[in-house]
Amino acid sequence: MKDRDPIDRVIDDVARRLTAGGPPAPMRARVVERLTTDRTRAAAWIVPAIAVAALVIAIVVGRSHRGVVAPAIVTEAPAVESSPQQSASDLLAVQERAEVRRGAAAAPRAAMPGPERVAVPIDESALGALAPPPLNVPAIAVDRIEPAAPIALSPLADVAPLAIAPLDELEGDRR
Amino acid sequence: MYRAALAALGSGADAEDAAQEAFLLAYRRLNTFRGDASFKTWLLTIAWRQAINRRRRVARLWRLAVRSAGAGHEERSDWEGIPANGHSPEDAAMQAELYRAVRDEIRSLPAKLRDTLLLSQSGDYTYEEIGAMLKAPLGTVKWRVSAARRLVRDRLNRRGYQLGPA
Repeated sequence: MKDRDPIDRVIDDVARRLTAGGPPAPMRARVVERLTTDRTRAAAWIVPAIAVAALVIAIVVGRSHRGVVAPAIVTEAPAVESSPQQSASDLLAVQERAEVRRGAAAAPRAAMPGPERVAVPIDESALGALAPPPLNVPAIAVDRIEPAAPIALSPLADVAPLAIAPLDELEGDRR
Repeated sequence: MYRAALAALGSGADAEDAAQEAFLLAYRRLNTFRGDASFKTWLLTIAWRQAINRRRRVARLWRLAVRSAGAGHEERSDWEGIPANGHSPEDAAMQAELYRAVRDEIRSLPAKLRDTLLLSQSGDYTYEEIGAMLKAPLGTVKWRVSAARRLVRDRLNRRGYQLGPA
């Protein structure tokens, strides 16, 4: 490399000087300190993370349990005095009003217990009275279809072969 | 690791920070070391990536302006201490001026050429290790070093610096 351009030597020398010098003496201590801090910090994160995860699980489980226990029919209607003697039409009107309100409210809110919500007991006998009378439709009798007589096909008569006469010249020219 | 970061960042303080970050990252990801390359190459790759990320972060115009304005006087004394090998004081002054010009031209090289040149001249890394750090094939590393020298030489010639063969 003795024949190298002197300017190349200068370039290499300058490049060497630009990256010269080792790391400062306390760097190793600082790295070790940061490693220790990093480990401690990582360990410190685990406890809150587990606590948050447990809290979330508890909330989810609690909500799902409440959903199972909740009454099947819950309305937001104001308190209604109901009794077994209540007429079927009154009961129907109350239920219709409750349905309209329930449709207006959000579905999750309807499932949550609130101060205005009242469970309306359903009288099975009243519901039975509302049921329409059973339909009495006479059975339709259909006569059996007799098998039809086989269709007899007469064979086709032979077609006489066509005789084609060659065209004369004049006719050929015209074409 | 420190010297690789220094080649990328050009500042001792930034290089130290980047090297520390690289050590921490390597420690956390120790289980990802698969032994495909040597451990040194693996560490160097992490350090280089950290340094480049840091370089991107600090490459803001105002910081560059402050650095170039503030570092001039501090570095001048270093470059004036270049030995002139027994030449006259005038020769020594001219050589110091040449070194400063070369330094400026190296710093103004495209990043890929500059990084490769500095890493190759730091004396710590083989071309293979540089290739692993820069994710470049061996031939490309060699070509970049050569191209960096050629570019600096051409620019110096344009600025009027002419050095004859030794």
